Formats: sequence, structure tokens, C-alpha cells
Amino acid sequence: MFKHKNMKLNKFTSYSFIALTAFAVSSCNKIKDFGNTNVNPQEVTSLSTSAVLANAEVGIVGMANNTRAAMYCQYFSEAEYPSNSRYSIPQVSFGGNYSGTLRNLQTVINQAANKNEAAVARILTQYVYWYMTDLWGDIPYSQALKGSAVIPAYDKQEDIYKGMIAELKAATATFVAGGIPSGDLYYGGDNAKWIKFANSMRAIMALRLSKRYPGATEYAATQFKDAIAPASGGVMESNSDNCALAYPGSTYRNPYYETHLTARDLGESLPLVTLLNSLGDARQSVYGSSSVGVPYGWSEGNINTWREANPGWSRAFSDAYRTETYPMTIMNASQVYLARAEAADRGWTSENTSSMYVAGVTAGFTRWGLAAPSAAYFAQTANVLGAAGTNLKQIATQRYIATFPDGAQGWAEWRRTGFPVLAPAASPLSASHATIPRRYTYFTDEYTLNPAGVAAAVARLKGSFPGAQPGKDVQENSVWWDE
Amino acid sequence: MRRFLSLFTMLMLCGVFAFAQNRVVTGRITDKDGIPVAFASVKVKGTKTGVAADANGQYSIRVKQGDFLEITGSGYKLTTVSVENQNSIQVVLERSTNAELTEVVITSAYGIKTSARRSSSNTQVVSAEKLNVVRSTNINDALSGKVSGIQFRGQSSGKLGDNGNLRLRGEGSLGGGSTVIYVVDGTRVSSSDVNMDDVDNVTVLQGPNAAALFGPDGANGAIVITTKRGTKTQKGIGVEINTGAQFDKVYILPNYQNSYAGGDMGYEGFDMYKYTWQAGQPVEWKALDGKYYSDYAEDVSWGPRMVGQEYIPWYAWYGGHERSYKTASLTPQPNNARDFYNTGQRLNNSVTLTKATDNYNIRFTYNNIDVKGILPNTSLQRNSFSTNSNIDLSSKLTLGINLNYYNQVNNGSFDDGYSNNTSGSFNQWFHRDLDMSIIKELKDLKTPTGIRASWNHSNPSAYKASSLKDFYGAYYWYNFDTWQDLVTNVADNNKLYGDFSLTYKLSNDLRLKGTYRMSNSFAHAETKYSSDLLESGVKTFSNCGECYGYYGSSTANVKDQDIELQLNFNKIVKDFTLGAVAGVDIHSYTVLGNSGNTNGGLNIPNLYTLTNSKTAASFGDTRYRTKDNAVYLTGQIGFRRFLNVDFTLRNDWLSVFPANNNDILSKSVGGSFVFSDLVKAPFLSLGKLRASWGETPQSLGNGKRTQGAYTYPGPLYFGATNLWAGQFLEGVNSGSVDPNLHGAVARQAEVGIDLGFFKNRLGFSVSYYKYVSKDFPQSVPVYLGTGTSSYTTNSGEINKKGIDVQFNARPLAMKNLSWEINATWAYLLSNKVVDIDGDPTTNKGRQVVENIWGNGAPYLVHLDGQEWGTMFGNGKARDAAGNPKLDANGFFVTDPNVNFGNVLPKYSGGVQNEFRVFNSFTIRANIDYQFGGKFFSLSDMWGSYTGVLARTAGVNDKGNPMRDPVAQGGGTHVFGVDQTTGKPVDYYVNTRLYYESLYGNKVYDDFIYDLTFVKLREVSIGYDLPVAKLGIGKWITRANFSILAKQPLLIYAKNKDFDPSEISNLSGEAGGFPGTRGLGVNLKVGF
Repeated sequence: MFKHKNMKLNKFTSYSFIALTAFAVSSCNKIKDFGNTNVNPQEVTSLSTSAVLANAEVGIVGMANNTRAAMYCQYFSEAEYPSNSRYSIPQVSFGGNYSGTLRNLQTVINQAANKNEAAVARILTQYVYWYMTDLWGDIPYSQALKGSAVIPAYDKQEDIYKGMIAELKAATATFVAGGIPSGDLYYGGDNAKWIKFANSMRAIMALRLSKRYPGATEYAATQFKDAIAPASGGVMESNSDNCALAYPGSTYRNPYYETHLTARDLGESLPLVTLLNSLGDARQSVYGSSSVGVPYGWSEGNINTWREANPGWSRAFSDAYRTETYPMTIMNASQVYLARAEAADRGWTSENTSSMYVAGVTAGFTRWGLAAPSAAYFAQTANVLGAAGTNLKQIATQRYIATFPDGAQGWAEWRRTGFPVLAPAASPLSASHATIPRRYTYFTDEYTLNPAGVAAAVARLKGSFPGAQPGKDVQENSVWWDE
Repeated sequence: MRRFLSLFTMLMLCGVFAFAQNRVVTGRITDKDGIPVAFASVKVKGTKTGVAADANGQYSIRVKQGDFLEITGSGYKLTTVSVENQNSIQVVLERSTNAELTEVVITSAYGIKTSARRSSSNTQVVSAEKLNVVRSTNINDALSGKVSGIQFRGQSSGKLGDNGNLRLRGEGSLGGGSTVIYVVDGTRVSSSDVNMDDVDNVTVLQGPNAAALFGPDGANGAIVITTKRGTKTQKGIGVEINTGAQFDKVYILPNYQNSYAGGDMGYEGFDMYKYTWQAGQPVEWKALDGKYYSDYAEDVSWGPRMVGQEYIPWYAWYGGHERSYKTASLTPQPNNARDFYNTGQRLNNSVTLTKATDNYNIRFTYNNIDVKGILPNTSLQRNSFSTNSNIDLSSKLTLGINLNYYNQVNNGSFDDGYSNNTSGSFNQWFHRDLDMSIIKELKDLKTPTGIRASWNHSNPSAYKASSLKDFYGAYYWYNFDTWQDLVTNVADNNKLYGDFSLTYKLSNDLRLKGTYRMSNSFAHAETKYSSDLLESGVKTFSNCGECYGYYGSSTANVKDQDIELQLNFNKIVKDFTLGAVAGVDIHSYTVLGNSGNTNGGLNIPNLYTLTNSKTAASFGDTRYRTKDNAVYLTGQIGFRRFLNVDFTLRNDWLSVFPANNNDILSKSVGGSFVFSDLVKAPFLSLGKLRASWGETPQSLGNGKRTQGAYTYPGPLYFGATNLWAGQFLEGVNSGSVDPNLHGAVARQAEVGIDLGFFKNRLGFSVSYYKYVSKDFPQSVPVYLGTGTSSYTTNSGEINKKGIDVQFNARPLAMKNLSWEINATWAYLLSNKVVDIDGDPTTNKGRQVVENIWGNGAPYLVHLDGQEWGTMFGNGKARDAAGNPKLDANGFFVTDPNVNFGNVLPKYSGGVQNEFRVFNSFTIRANIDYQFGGKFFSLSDMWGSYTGVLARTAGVNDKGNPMRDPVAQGGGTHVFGVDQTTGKPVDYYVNTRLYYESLYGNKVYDDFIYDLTFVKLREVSIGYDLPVAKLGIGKWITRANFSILAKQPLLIYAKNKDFDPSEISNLSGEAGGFPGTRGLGVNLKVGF
């Protein structure tokens, strides 16, 4: 009995032990081999550069719709809970542009099989840097996007501008026949239009340096002339050359339509309404929903009381121009003509100031489907041109109107030319920040993640406008071209 | 590793061939109630042969006929039995009269048990009785204050189904902090899976070697729950009914101002608007012509003073009810927020059946929990079934089955963040004059065209016959009760977990156990927003995309399973007790889920299907899989009863790491010395020194093995859900991953002393621990200008050290009155983030963890060289002496980088008192506390900005109403120094502008508070009914009735507007529901 039991036990033990040992030994390799367990079924290892390009283009259009900047140049007023138009500190992060749009574009540049696709990505890359440097001033440029091991220094804006202008020229030279297969939501792969866009951008960039290089033979004028030279491929000359994104509607909708659906508190500013009405400008019927402009930079309690008394206040854009699918423009022909008018007026080029001016203003109307302005429009005192070299106010004011609603460009041009003359917010949030900002301040991440870089950039900051403090990261200091 | 495997094999061999002797007797050692006596020692008298019983009192020993067995257990008298010819000897031990405590059993991973006396680290065990002073449904809350080293971070009971969080000994990893694991009878579950009525005891493992065996899951400590077992009763079958009801009322609400009505009436004066009827407006409104109203549209309370004057209330403009077109008097409504909330109700009923014989034990519980929430229309129902049993199939083979199933339907887990539709309005954006009973009364009020009435509609000038919604619709807010009706969230969760095991006794000393363990959950959740919200809203959509009408649903299936093989060896050889367990664990974890939601509204109103989406519906699917394997060996060697050494060795292989570098070896060792056995001092009943050191493996995702799938190799590419005019969009992942990524170990050392005096009537235990985790796998933020947002690599160092103290005393131990007191105190000496990214030259030593409110508001960050979790943000710029700098208008100058302090409390703990009176009354009162740490209150910020909170009204230091114009002696007095001259200055600033500028100029100092609190968390008075005296003893064996109070009193907090013990985010609250205090009764009857 005992024996039997023990035998059974021994047998069982031996078998199970052998099994266990066998398992342990045989598992020695199996135990650490998980096959394809860690392969993500929801991602792929190769990409479609055209899909990445399309994604970048969708992102970039947001830069031409910067409402904070648009409030600085007083295209818009806040009709409720005003904050940006009362100069709350513009401590905004630019970092996402590098890890998002710029990284996407760099991926296209590195991986695109199609040369034109890479050229387009190079052009758009410069647009993104341009947008950023005009808002903040010095930013990482030459050492950016080099991977996690290289913390980039901040380049001086002067070097960034020269780099952007050179890169745009270089990129236009790399186009080859045949367009790009798909993914270009702006121009449908039309090489000639891309070259015009790049040259137009280069011309406007060059003109932006007019305070730094005012002379007709200096860097800015030279670059301007090169950019608009027919040999370079030309610039935008009709609204069909405009760089714009058409919204398909439904999931992807016009941003002002989207804003109005939910917030409804972005108003056309009173100063803009006053300006347009003083000119009898038909664009007022496009830019706002009524001619009751919203007072600019009022305190919350006061604007609410005002709004209560003025229920018909003008929303940003009239209904017909704020539809689900209405396209948004990144750059238009009117801006380019008016830049050429100013360059001619400055004596940088030998083009005809007046014809450029008329073509620019006209394109600014027809762009919205409006009739071309009448001769009487041009004959008004505020619009009529005078002797050569005295027309900055008229040209700049028209360019300001033509740039609507692109706040980044509108604010930059206002900072450069000072026209139209704008009064700061009536009720700024702080007595220390009571004038229209000249730049954005650096985000907290810059101070903690790139302290050496930001410290060098801040040390270079200065300005000549009220509130400027040399070496301080304040919104009243100027970017380099505005100093 | 091969060496480890061969060691493992050797150990098994030793065990297998170590038997000889005559025959085997087996049995179970219990007390007179049938409760097993764990780890009793069984010796053959006069020899050195002996074994230790297991945690269930089971033993088997080789004997000869005529031997005598000597059996002892801690706290029990020595019993001797003679061995005749029986194969089974059941032993009933009698309690020793000296009051030495019974053996406390510590449960570790894989159900491995040891006795507290032998433990080499501070492992605390909480009994069911202490856990359920107030019968609880939340294990986290129930442990609060009872275990030294635990910090409970609670959540209002208004948030149904949310148990809050536990923090053990501070934080041992970066990111958003650690998550402890919960283990029920060896199976990993989440805190909400625990059936509290089944809990026999809870072992909290936070020491170095204690958590070592759990592998990467145990990186942050483990809460190990042992459930009750079937025990033998006189009647054969044990029946217990436990029934309870608890009623919760809202407790802490912020102090509101009750002087000024809602609306935005500018900065000074606050006169009401006069209404003048105009042609085209409804003729019924003529009745209101010439009367006054306050602004309805702005959701702030900067309106007129409430002095009982006549005004047009919000509802007067709507027809169809008895208050239509009538004025009312404007009077304060101090309790309006409180009036909104229901009395919550929690019914908790269970039936338990148990049976045990010599060959098997079984326990079955059915539990029903029925909760009515404090928010209208919210409820939670839970039905759970659990059973566990052990069946001796033969004298060698035991089958164990533990199964738990529950279904929980959570109807209404509403958002408690910023601007949520209840507390997010009351405390942040509100009209202080609202009468909540009228809000409730009119919740179904609609215009003839179907627009739902709201207190927050537009002002009459917005009236347009062509667009009635512009006036009648909800401007920002719907009627709160209407909202609760029109929005539904239902989460239906089914979970099945447990294990099947077979244990085979290879010999007296050796057992082989195979276990299949699983935890499966099947969840379905649905969210519906009625299309009525679209028809009734004006600007409500800016915070609520779902208010266009919305349907979302998701299903998820989570499978977590282990196949375990374990060899268990126990033997007493002469003076030595040997125990060892070796095992293999093959684990896999899979999540499969689908989700979808509508976008842009619903085509057919109130038809809730994905195909009814206005614009393209969004879809998502989850497929997530990790696998890992482990082998382990743990052992314990005891000499006599006073010296013990233990160790563990564990090797893990994880699928989330590169195949050539995917293993982690971790080790631990510890020892204890009960010196009181050697130096007998008359007053000293226990004196023990202990020390331990150990490693816990660290995987990805805060160390857990179920996280981090697909992180390596990254980065890959993914597509967008929707096409842009036929073109798909693709993004590039901006993270990058170190190709040499690998696992790591955290190291912890602990020393401690346990002392008991006067027959253990007084005792305390002190432990000091030190923890270092270094070069763990993690994702560190990278400067975005590099084009990379994060880098996943091995880096970082985090250190913590602290002291845990437990204290117990029985100051009174008389026949009719006894008093027992237990207290815990944990002192977190430091919890330092030494380094984040391992490279001081790149200045990446910063990790943002949480940002409750956008740019510049206080956010939680880890910084090199600072304590874990520091709050930084914009605040007051100060001079060297700390005075705030003021600008020329008396407003604060902003400093963008103010350190607001640390979010970890310095001290935490609790005090539990228990009084027994006449042996039938038991009175318990439990307090818990924490000191130190800061939090940011977003509600406080908005409630100040909007003039809702008390601080925005009242009188200033001139004795004038502070909302009066400054020129008339009103305003808020601001002190500071001039920003340019540095000289002291003071100003009276318009009160509204003062609070508006705190937000506008990003000055957040005033909204930072201390986490310090002392709270009376539980009180209960229980009465044991004298069933025998009542003559019902025939049917009822015992009955206990208790009255209980849950969170009855916040004894101390610096700011009582927001309960610091119920802060939902790491760095503060964003709109949390109010805390509650509960009162209840419970009856427990055994048959």
C-alpha cells in the first residue's frame, strides 16, 4: 500500500519535474522572444510625402489667420471678455511649429522622390520661419531641426532674413518640368505659380527691411529687384496667382465660419470700419456684417454695456464671406502690387508707382468678387498719389486694407510703416503695457529648455517705442527690422 | 541568466529528493471558531522534525505511530496530540491568556505568505474590521490614515465611480506620478474592482523587498487584498446578511457673496437697465414696460445690489408658466448652489454563504450597491458575485477556484473640470441671485418653437422675431436641471477576474502549484447630447462641441492573463525553518476596442447613431498588446524564532523593449532579529530590529509592464481620419526613441525597529527608508526647436527618503470598557528629482506634468534638483524683501517664473480610536491628516474674476462697500512698492478691476492654497445585539447594528472654500464637485 503510493508519488513527481525542467530549459530562448508582439498594427514605417505636404499646407493657413496679431493691427476687436486687444502678455510658444509643420516639411524635403515636391516644401519652410521671426524676432533657424542632440542657438533676425531670401531663390531654381503628383492643396502642383509665390514672398521680405536698408542700391532694394525680375520667374500678377486654401467643408471648415459657429465674439474693429467708410470702400461689405464697428480695447464691463446697446455690431466678415467652404488666402496679388508701388515710390525700381498702385488696389477689390473701384475712389484726397517719394501713407494704408484678415502680415506692415495711424487700446490691462505691442515675448519653455539661446536673444533686444527696455523680453521692444 | 536558471533547477531538485520517513499525516490548525491559525509550528515531540503550517493553517508532516505532535501558534497555547493510525489530524488551538497579538499574516505576490514577526520590512496589514469602520465601497478611501506612508488623494463622491488615488511613500517616478497596483488573491485588478465585503485583510507593500516579487507592476508599491474564506460553522452552512444605507449631503462649498446680483453692469454704480417695450417685441412684454432688469447674458455677478427691489427675473420673459410677465423682488439666495444638489443615497446589501469541511471550503457573496448621486439624474448600480473555494480532491491534490464577476452601470459620470455645468458654473460663472427652486421648477419650460428656457439668455435688445433663439436661447449656460436631463453618460462595465489552481503535494515539504489567472473586462460606454441643446443654445458651443447634438460610443475588451507555475518548499530542520518558492509567470495583456462619435451635430434630431452624424463621424480602434515572462525565486531562512533572513531573485523579459536587451534582473535581501527573545525585560513584550534592501524592476510608462507597447522603435507614421478633398493627410511623429532603450531597477533600503511593551498594550514601530531610481526608461521632453518633442531613453534620477511610524496603545482594558488607539505618521524627508535627462549640459532638466489652465497659469513641473512636483507660473514680481511691485495704477507687476511650492505633503497619517463599552458597544472615530503641499484653485480664480465669491464683496478697510467707486471711498486696498522707485506705496483699486487684472496680468498668487488638513473621516457606533438574551439565538448567531458618519467634519484647513482632501488634479482643482458628508446605518446578521 505504502509502496504503491510512494511509487505513484515518485512517478508523478518525476514526470512533473522532468516536464518543468524541460519547459524551463526549452523556454530559455522562448522566454525572451516575443515575435511581432511589439509591432504596432496602427502605424506604418514608410510615408507618403504628398500626404505630409498636404498636412503641412493645412497647418500653415492658420498662420495667415492669426487673430491676436489681427487685434494688434486693429482688424478685429473683442466684443466680449476682451484680453488680447487689451495687451495681455503675448507669451506664446513657437515650439510646436518646429516639431510639427517644420518637421513635416523637412521630412518631405529629405524623402520626396519628386524634386518639385521638395522645392515646394523648401518654400513653405521659409514662410513658416518668416511668420515666426516677424512675431518674436530672433529665433532658432540655422541650427534648428537637427535632432534632439543639438539645442539650437537663436539666429539674429538679420541672418534669418538673409537666409530666407537666399533659400527662396535657391529653391525656385530646383523646379523641374512636370509639377507634383498630389498633395499640393494650394496650387495643384503648378510650378509656375509656386515660383511666383516664392518670388512674391522674397520681394515682400526684402521690402520689410526698408528701415534697415533704405537705399536704392542697398541689400533690400537689390533683393527686391531680383525677386520681381522676369528672369526669376515673375511675381503674382492676378488673383489667380494668389496662394490660397479652399476648404472642403464638413470636417474641414473655414476658420471664421468655425469661430462664428461657437464664439461669435470676434468683431470688426471700429477703427477699420471708420477707415473703410471714410473712403467709401466697398470692401466694408465683405469685412464685416454691418457698419457698427466694435470699439477697440475697451474694458470688459464697458464693452458689454456697449454691446447691449448695439446688438447689430459688426462680426468679422459678412455672412456671404464666412461660409463653410470660403477659401483663406496666404498671400494675394494686391499685396505684391502695392509692395511694388512702394518700392517704385522709394526709387528702388523704375516701375510706375501709380500703375502698380491702381493694379494693387483693384486686385484687392476683385479678389472678393467686387467691382473694380471707380476713378472717384482713387481721386479722394486720402487715396490720391502725390510726388514721387511722398506716397508711403496712401500705399501703406491700401496695403493694410488689402492684407485683411492676415494679422501677422498686417501687424508687421503697420509696425514698419506706421500707417494707418492707430491709437492704442482705451483700457489696457496694465499700465506697464499700454501701447500696441511690437513683438511677442518668449514662452516659458524657452527659458527652461534653451536658456543659453534665449538669454543671448533677449540681450540683443531693444527698441525705440514707448515701453521699450533694452535687454528685456518685453512686448514693447522691437524686432530687428523694426528697431 | 543561465546561472540563475540552473540555481532554480537545483533548488527544485533538492526539494524533490529530500523526503524519506514513514507516513504522512495532514490536517488543518484552527481556533475554536474555525479560523485557521496561520504559520503554526508543528513538531514531532522529542525530535528535531517539524514543519510550519501554511497561511491557511494547513500542514502535513511525516510521522511514526506513537509520536506526539507539539503544535503552537503565536498567541495560542501549546497543544500536544498523539499520533494514532489516523491520516488526518485536525487541531484546535486555544488562545493563550496573555494578550499577545495573534500572528499577523503578510501576503505578497503570487499569494506567498509570511508572518509579520519574521518580516524584514515595514509591511502593514489592515484587517477587514479596521478597514470597514464605516462600511466602504472604496478601498482607497478606506485605507486613508490607517497605513503609515499612504496618502489618499480623494475625489468628491459627486464623481460617481471614481475612487481617487493612493500615493505610497511619496513619488518614485517622474511624469504624472505613480500608480500603485491592487491585487486580489494574486490577481491584478484596479481599485474599483475590489468587493469590499469580501476583504479579509489588506497588506500594503511599500518596502524594498516586499514589492520586489511583483515585477515591474509593483514598481510603486502594491495593495494586496486577501479575501475571506469559508470557515466551519456549527450549523454547517454560514449565512450572513449585511445591509446598509448611507445618505450624503453636500458639505464644503466656497463662500459666496450674497450682496450683488448676476450680470455685468460695468465697474461702478451697478444700476439696472430700464426696459422699454418696442414695436415688434411680444405684446405680453408690454406688462414689463418701464420695469428694470439686470444683465442676463454675461455669466458674472457684477450686477446690482440685492435689496429686495422690484426687477424682471430671467423667467418673466418666457410665456407659459405662472410667473410669466411678472416682476419679482431681487433678494439674496445664499443657498442656491447647495439647493441644486440632491441628497445622495447609497444602499449596500450583501448575502454571504459559507461552508467548510475537512476537505473543502467555499464562500459565495452576492453584493448589490445602489447609488443615487448628488447630481440630478445620476446613479450607479453594481451587482457583484464572488466565490472562492479550495477543494482537496485527494490528500495530495487541491483545487482552488476564485471567481469574481461584476456588472456596474454608471449612469452619469459628469465632467468635473473647468466650466462644467454644475460646480463649474456655481463657483466660476454664475448669477448669485438665482433661486434654484425656480430653476428646477422650470426645467421643462420651452418656447412654443421648442427653445429650452435658460437663466442665462440674452437681453431683450437681442429679440428678433426672425431668430427667436437669439433671445430665448441659452447664451453660455443651459438651465442646470435641463442639462442633467438632456445629457446622458452611461458606462456599462463587466468584469470577470480570478484564478483556477491545482496544487499537488509532492512531499511533506514540497508542493507544486499551477495557476491560470485572468482578468477580463468588457466595457461599453455611451454619451448622448440631445439635439434640443442645439435648438436652445446661442454661444454654448464654444465650450461644448457636443451641444450641436452628439452621440459617442465605445467598447473595450481588456484581457490580462497569467499562466503561473510554482514550486513551494517548507521545512523545519533542527532550529532552522526553511521556506522557498520558485516559479514561472507567463503574462500577456491585450486591449481591443472600438469607438466612434458624431461630429457637427445629428441629421435627424435625437437619433443616436453614428451614421446620423452631420459631418463625417470619427472612428477609432485600439489594438494594444504586451507580453512578458518572468522566473523568480524567493526564500526565507529562520533560526529558532528570532532570526530571519529572506531574499528574492526575479528576472523579467518584456516585449516592449528591443529583443536583444529585454530583460531585467532584480534582487532583494532582508533580515530581522527579535532581540526580545534573548534579552527578557519584564516590560518588553516585543523588540525587533529589521533591515532590508531590494530592487524593483522599472519598465516603460511609470514602470508598469502593461504599458509602453510600440514606444520602441518609433517614430512611425500615421494617417488622418478624414480626407481633405480626396487627399489624405499624414503626420510625422515628433518623438524619437533611443535604440538602446532597456529596463532598469529602482533600489530601496529600509531599517526599522518594532517595540511592544506591557504585554503589547503599548507599541510602536519606526522605519526609515531610502529610495533611489536611476536611468529608468522614460520619455523626456526635448526643446522643440530641435524638431523633436521627446526622447525616450534611459535617464533620470529620483531619490526619496522618509520615516514611517505606527503607534498603538490600549490605555484602557477593563472588563466593561476598553480603549484602543492606533496612529500613523509618515514624514517624507525629501523626494527629490535629482536629474531628469541625465545630461546637465543640454538644459533639458524640466518636465511639465500638468497644466490645469493654459499658458502661464500655475503648472506642475519637475525640475532638476528640486522636490518632486513644483508649481510654477506667473505671479507677483517682488522686491528683495518680498513686497509686491506695483505699477502706476496700483496693479501688480508680473513675474513670469514664480515658484509657488511643492505639491507633496510633508506629513500625512491618521489616528484611529476604538472604544468598547459593555462588550456590546463599539465606538470608532478615525481622523486623518496631512501637512504641507500646495494646490491651485481654478474655481477660486474664476469665482473672483466673476464676482461670485465672498472676497469680491463686503466692506474695505475704510468701512465702505468695496464695490463702491474708488472716488466714493470704495475699492480694494493694495499695498506694495513702486516698481521704479522701490518705495512703499498703496492704492485703492476698483474691486472688479483688481480681480480682473489678477487674471489679465497673470498674477496667480492669490489662488494658491495649502493642502494641509485634518479631517474626521469616519465615526461609527456599533452595537452587538444580545441574540441569546433576545431568544433568537436559535436562528441568529450574531447581529450587529451600527450608526455611522462619513467625513462628518473638516476639522482644520487653512482655506475652507475648497476641501484640500478632495483635490482631483495633482496640482489643484479645475471645477471639482463639492465634498459630501454622509450619515448611515448598517445591520449585519449571521445565521
